[in-house]
Amino acid sequence: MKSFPRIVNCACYAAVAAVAVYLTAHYSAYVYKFHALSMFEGSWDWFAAHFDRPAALLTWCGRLFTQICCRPALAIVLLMLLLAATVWLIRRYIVCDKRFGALSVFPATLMLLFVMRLGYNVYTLKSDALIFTQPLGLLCALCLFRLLISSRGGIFKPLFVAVIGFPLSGFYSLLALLMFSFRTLVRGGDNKRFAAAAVSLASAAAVPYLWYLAAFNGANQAYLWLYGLPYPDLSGLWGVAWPLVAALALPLLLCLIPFRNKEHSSRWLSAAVAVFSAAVAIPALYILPCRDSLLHRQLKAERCIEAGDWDGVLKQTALSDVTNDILVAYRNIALFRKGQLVEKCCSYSFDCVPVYVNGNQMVSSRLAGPTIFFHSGLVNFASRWAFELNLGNAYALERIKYLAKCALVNGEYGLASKYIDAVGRNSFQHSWARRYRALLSNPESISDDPELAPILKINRYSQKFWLASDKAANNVPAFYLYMDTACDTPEFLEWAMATAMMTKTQNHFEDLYSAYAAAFPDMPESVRQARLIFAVVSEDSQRIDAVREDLGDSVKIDPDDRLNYAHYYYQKRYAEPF
Amino acid sequence: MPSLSDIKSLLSVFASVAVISCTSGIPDAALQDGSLPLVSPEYAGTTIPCNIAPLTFTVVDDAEACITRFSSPSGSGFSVRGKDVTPKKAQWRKLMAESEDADVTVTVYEKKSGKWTGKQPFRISVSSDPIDAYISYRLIEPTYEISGDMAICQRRLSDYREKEIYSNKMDFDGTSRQCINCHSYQAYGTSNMQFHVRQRDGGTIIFRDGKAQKVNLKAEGMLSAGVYPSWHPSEPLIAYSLNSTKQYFFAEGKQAAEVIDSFSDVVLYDPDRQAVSIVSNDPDDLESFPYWAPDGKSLYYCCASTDSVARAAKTNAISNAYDQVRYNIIKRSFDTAAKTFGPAETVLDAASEGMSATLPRPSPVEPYLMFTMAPFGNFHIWHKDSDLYLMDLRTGEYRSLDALNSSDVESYHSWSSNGRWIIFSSRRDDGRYTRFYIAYFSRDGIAHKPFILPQADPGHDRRLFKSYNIPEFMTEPVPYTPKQILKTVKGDAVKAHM
Repeated sequence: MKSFPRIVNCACYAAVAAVAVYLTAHYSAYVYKFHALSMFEGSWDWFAAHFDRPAALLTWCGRLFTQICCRPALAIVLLMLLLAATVWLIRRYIVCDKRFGALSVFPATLMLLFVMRLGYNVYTLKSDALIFTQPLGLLCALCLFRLLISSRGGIFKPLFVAVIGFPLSGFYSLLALLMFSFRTLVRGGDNKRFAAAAVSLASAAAVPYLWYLAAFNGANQAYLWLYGLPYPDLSGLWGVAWPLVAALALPLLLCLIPFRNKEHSSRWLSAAVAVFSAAVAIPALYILPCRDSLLHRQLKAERCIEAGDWDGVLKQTALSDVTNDILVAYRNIALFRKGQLVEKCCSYSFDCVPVYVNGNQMVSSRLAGPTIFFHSGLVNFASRWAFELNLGNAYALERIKYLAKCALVNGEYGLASKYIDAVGRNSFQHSWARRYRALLSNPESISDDPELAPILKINRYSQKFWLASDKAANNVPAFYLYMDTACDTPEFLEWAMATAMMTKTQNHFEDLYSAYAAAFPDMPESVRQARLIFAVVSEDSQRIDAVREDLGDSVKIDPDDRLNYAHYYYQKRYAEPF
Repeated sequence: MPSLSDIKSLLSVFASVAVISCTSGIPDAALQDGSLPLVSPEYAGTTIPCNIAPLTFTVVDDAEACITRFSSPSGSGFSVRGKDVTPKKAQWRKLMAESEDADVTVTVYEKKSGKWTGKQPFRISVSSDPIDAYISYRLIEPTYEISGDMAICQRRLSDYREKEIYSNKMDFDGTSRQCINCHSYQAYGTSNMQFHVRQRDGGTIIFRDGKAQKVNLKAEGMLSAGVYPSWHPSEPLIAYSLNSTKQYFFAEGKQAAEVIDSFSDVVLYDPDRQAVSIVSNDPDDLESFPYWAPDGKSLYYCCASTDSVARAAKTNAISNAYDQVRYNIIKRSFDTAAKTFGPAETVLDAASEGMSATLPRPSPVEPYLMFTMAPFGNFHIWHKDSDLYLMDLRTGEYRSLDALNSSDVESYHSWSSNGRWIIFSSRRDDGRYTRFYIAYFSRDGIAHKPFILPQADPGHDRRLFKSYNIPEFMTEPVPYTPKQILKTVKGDAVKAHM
């Protein structure tokens, strides 16, 4: 029976290794996205600008490590090494009782679950470098804890650790102090333990405030104790956050397991803590096999778009009947760029299923705005959305690259140079920067460039549309997405309705139609036809009847004709392949 | 990953530094080259104040090594090694003292293929007219709607020391950020100052002689809270424009957006009584950007007059009329004792010439009025053809300040307290990120070639993803700490009344 704990431990470690293999196999596009949505300039400017807030060094390290995600397999290996170190530290310095050794894998596993189960939230991160900052933070907390429990230093050692650790690692230094307090209180045998625990708790409470008074002008006092945690991203997202909360709570719980104490009563306490810890951790594991296939297809499609692999985009977007508006948009772009949009936009399996888009999805759909607009040739909109998203979320390599490419297409070479330099300061992006720097002040090369030449060509077709800020521009990545309110001109409304048809967002089409009818009652026959066509495409007989009744007998179409309104619209403007 | 060529170039730089460090001073056997060195930023032919921070620049030529020699008229001076030319402060001070009302000569020596070449020297004139000790500005991304981190900062001009007066990071709750804007001071001092906070904890923060107050300037019946401010030079009064502003976006072309006022008025706020009174609120006029004359006896502002286009601009059909809205410069006399304004006088009828003039700023010491002019609109920071102009108030004649203008945007401008220096914002560097340029304005009314606000690191502006916004000269630093200001921001606002 003595070998039983060893077997359990080995099984746990094997399970973690299996998780690594699983992640490598299935999450590479997802891990890559962390890199694309992060930003690391390799200069001290960022560091200098953020040093007026706690945990600047931790975040800086997280940003640095996140760049490795452009090689997903390497990043996963690094992540697993960090987590293995976490397991080892917990096993060595917290769960010293071999019978409970298996518990040491739980915090690391939960941390892994947290970063891998962010799902669509990966697009909206405001905290930089989440994939590595939190595992690094936990590791940092364990190292500080190790320092605290070492025999050297008096009872004021926690104060010293807090003063040094808080500016560097924020919350994670406080976690180390809390762990130390817990461990000290249950350790027994030391008359000074209560004093040490009290100093530790007092340091955790007071030192952040003292640092705030002394230096941290850039910190919000209300969140002072949380710096280092991704609280801006997780407020209101407890479903996503709770593996992280559990990962951080478990080391605290495990510290309650007495340190090499042989007393019978302590064994019961240890067992109780172990059971409770497992009860906290194990439920989180159920989300391990859950995988949002739409998100992962979308991420793979984005990598194909980045590579100009339009067949790859079509392959990803045609993998199942279930879809979302972004995948529809990506497919339309691919068809458009292959010169097949007009013939095939309504020819795939889910073409007759209109997508109803709710508010939450609209928000996430905007995140694809730069990609959609740029590859549709609307560079000003792409540029604007890349900029807005950089400010609303975090500065991202992907979006800086779009800004650079938009500036090149627009002939703004000074601006393009600035963005290219910013990307080029990242050690992993030298070749990207070299490729685009060669296009600076060189319009001939741009018009010959396989990626930018088509964009340049499509951009020339763009009309001078107006988007009012409080209406369309806020709610519309318009070209392939949707809009929910009226705009200024009939031309824009027609355009928006065509895009609503393309994305099959029936509810938005109806909203637009109503706005059009109210603002411009003398609408062309083709717009009425479009409404009828869209109703017919929905294959909803009630809806078709209602629309027919509303439009009257004068509006006629051939329901079997696939040359619908979108066909009419795009044939007029974009008939040739790009 | 760094490539082999990167490592090689790094090693060659180390090698060059090692060789240079073995030599002393300027290479004796340097060949002479008739061309000017390629440096960034460029300072050749500029005029600088004697109390400015050391000018820094980067030699952009593809050279293995560089030495730059700064010489005073007497021939003394110093040399700086390396492509990043960052003179030491003490050496620079000495050079400035020796070169007042004369020229500093800058010679760049470059080493290429092992041989040193002396480039053609360029000159920088040093004026004995000092510049004000500080400027303040807002650091902000050239954003559209979503706000990032932004801060109102002060910068000491004799060195590079920049401090945040207030930053929206301090009140960031993780989801929504405040917008902070429109800092303004009374008569170049800082004990009386104000700025606006929008969105969460919004209000206008007004400091007067050490006392802070947060005010909700949107009194009953006003179309908005106060927007563009101007302190009266001596009285406790602040003129504001009220603006109902919308932003529109272009799908193509280099102009990304257009900002348009649907409605606007000008009002006067009395902080003693928390009372707002109307200066100009003609329903058919769009009034904006008030600014007091230096004697406080008149108020300048710009106004789009009552014609059909302006009326069209007030409707949703703005997209058809945006490029026909044109502003004139107006002046109203002010009776300080009675606190009443006289009738509107047109100072510049720009609209009749097919132009739109905004941001009137009279010189504090001479009868000159500087303003920004472009073919249409009032938010000229988005107009590539926006330029600075100067009017002689004695004759009413005006001219373009060609020495200051570029092919890109020139917009917000301020005079130093002695009227000898002008600071203005320009997008000439990259077309998007606004930078400050400083120009000497001589007593004969001539504006000299401007220089960019110097930075400790010459590559700083190129890397910075923020614009410098609203430059204002100050003779002293702001005496209030960010945390004092934060306390006021988080406090309750006093409601202004009509």
